[in-house]
Amino acid sequence: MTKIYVVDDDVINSKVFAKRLTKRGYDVTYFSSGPQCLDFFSDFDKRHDAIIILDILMPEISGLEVLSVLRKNFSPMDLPVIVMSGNEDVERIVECLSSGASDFIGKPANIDIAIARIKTQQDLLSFHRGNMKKKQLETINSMVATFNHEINNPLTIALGSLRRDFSKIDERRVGIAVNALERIANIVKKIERVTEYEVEEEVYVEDTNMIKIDH
Amino acid sequence: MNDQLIDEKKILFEFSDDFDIFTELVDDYKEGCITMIQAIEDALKSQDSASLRITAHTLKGVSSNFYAPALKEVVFTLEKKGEEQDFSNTEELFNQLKLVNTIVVKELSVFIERNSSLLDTL
Repeated sequence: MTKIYVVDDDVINSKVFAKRLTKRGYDVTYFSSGPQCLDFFSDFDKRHDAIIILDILMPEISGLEVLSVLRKNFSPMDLPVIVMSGNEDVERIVECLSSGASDFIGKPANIDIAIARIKTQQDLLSFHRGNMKKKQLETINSMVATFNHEINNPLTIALGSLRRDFSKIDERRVGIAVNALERIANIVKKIERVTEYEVEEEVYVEDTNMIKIDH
Repeated sequence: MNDQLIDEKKILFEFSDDFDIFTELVDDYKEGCITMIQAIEDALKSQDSASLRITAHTLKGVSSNFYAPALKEVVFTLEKKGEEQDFSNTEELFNQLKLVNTIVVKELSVFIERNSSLLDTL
């Protein structure tokens, strides 16, 4: 579940906005200042899904300054930030988007527009997470193939040597060693079969993309 | 209806599904606007342009929920005065703000009273 963080020094408006989102099923937390928000996100786990709704004009530090600090640690894909402002001049909107904002909402926020924009960011976040997982699987696949190769060479040498010198060495011990190495060889074959799998993304259920490993 | 400062149609369009929340908002505003207007007065007295800008901006933000152009205009003008560090005619503007705000608050109370049946549907 994506958590929504509203950052706005305007307590009254934020309370209204948060209540309206909560009523529509969102999990909302409110910060009344930029420093409070930055303090919370200073050790935030990127793996958690979150969207920030950030007011621009605030005392202490402005929303754009908050955004600038956040973007040092979180890309727009890691942490979408939708900025809010009562000033809807083209220059202001461009400034916000150029500074790393994911989207812009005018104040007072029409709740349907706000939710539509939140949903867009949720979809993008979900797509990004899926993409990351796919890349992780591809990386693991590649690493497994490399390890497979690294094990296989000395394994082949060891097995070959043992079989050649079989008559000069303790049969029982050699037999144990050969069995152990043959078990490793079987594991290597299994690893080899895994690296032949293709990672595909298929739609299993409407609106849900699941990654399927196929071969 | 045309002499009203608040636009009831727009309020209903935005808040008819959240009339309970709107009612709370008005209650919060009735308390909060006193503090915000006092803060504006303090900023004007001390000629603190930064404070004037921020407090007027906040009041503008909250009051914009009521679709009251006259209120928004006077608060925005004060906000601009703060931004431009221009304190000319601010006494007149401030008196206008107090007057307009009083009328808006009264109209909101009547509006909520008249539309209280919306709370029963929620």
